[in-house]
Amino acid sequence: MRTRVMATLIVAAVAACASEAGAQSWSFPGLANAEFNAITPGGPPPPRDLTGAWDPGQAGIAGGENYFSGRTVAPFTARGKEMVARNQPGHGPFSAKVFEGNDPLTTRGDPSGFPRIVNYEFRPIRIVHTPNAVLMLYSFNQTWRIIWTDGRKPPEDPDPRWFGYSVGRWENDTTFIVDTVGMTDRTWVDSGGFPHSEGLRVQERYQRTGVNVIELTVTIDDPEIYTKPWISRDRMPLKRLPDNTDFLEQVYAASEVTGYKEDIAAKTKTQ
Amino acid sequence: MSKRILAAAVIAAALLLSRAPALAHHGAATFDTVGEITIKGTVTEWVWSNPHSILRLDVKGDDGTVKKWSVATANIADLSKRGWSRRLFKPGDEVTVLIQPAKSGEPVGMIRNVTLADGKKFQ
Repeated sequence: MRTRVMATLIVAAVAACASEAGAQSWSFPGLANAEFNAITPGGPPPPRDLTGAWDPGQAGIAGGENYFSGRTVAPFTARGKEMVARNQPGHGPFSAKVFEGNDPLTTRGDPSGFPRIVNYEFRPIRIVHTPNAVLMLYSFNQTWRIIWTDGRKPPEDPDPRWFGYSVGRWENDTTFIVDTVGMTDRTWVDSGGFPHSEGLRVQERYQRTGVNVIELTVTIDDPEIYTKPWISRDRMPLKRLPDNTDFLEQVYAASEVTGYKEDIAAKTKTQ
Repeated sequence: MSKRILAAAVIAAALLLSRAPALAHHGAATFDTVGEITIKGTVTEWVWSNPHSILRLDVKGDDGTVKKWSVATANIADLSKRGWSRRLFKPGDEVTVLIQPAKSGEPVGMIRNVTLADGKKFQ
C-alpha cells in the first residue's frame, strides 16, 4: 500500500513538473523523457483546435539510435536508387563516414524544408489558428509554415519551394488533414538521405486524442522515387506544454555547421 | 517487497532514460574512433553551437609539449536538457575529458563526459 502511495506521489510530481515545464521562463529546450512519458491524453479535446505549444519529444528528434522510430520506407524505383546513391547521410541505413557527409542541412546549413522539418529535429512547435489558416511555428531553425484552410486547392504546376504549398481541412472534430505539394528536390525527406522528386505529395494527419496529445502520421507519396507510399511518422505523439512556454532557439546556422565540418569532421579522415 | 523493488526499478529506468546522453549526434559507425581515452587540459574556448558544440583545450604531454585538442559533443538543445550551458566552461578552466578520439590520429574526438575541477561531471 505504502509503495503504491509513493509511486503515485512520484508520478504526480513528474506530471506537475511537466505541466509547469517552461512556464514563465525562457528558452525551454524540450521535455526530458520521464516528463514526456508522464503526460497523458487527459480529457476530451476542444473541437477543431490544435492551438498551443507542443513537444514531439525524443522521437521527434530522430537522430542516432532514434532514427528508425516510426519509419517503414518503401522500396526505391530505378530513379530512386540513382538519387539515393548520391547522398551521404549521418543517420540511418546509408550512414556515411562523417568526413564524407553531404547532408544539405547539417553540412551546408540549407533549410530543412518540408517534410524534413517534421521528420528530423522536430523540436517543440507552436500552433496558431487564424480565420483562414493554421500556422505551424517550429522552434527548430525558427521556421514557420502556413497551412491554408480557406478552401483553396493545391497549385497545379507550382514552382518548387523549400516548404512546398500546404492546404488543410478538418476530417472530423479531432482530425486535421494537411496536403502539401511543390517541394524542391534539393531537400531530403529526413536525415537518412532518403531523396524525393518535385512530384512528391505529403499528407499529414493531426489527430487530437485528448486535451494534452496530438498524434501525427505523415505519408510520403512519390511514385518517381518510391514504388509505393510509405509512412515516415506513425501516430507520433506531440504532448502539450504550457501555452506561455518560450522555446530555445535551436538554429543550425551555416557558419556553425561548416565550422564543425572543418574543425572536427574533416580531421577524422583516415588514409 | 517485490512491488517496492519493481517500483524502484521502474523509477530508476525512467530516470536513466531521461538522463541518457543522446550519444553522438551521428552514429558511432560514422565517426571512426579508437576506444576511449582521458585527456586533462586547460580550456581555451567553448563553442556553444549546432549541430555540435565544441570544447577546445590545451593538453600538455609528458614531454612538456602542448597539443591543441578540439572535441565535440551534442547540440545546444540536447545539452540544455542535460544541464550544460553556454557558461559551463571558460578559458583557463582545468577539465578532465573522457573522449573517443578519431582514428585518424588528429587531436579531435567526441566527448563522453567532462569533469570540472570541483569534481562535477557532465555527460
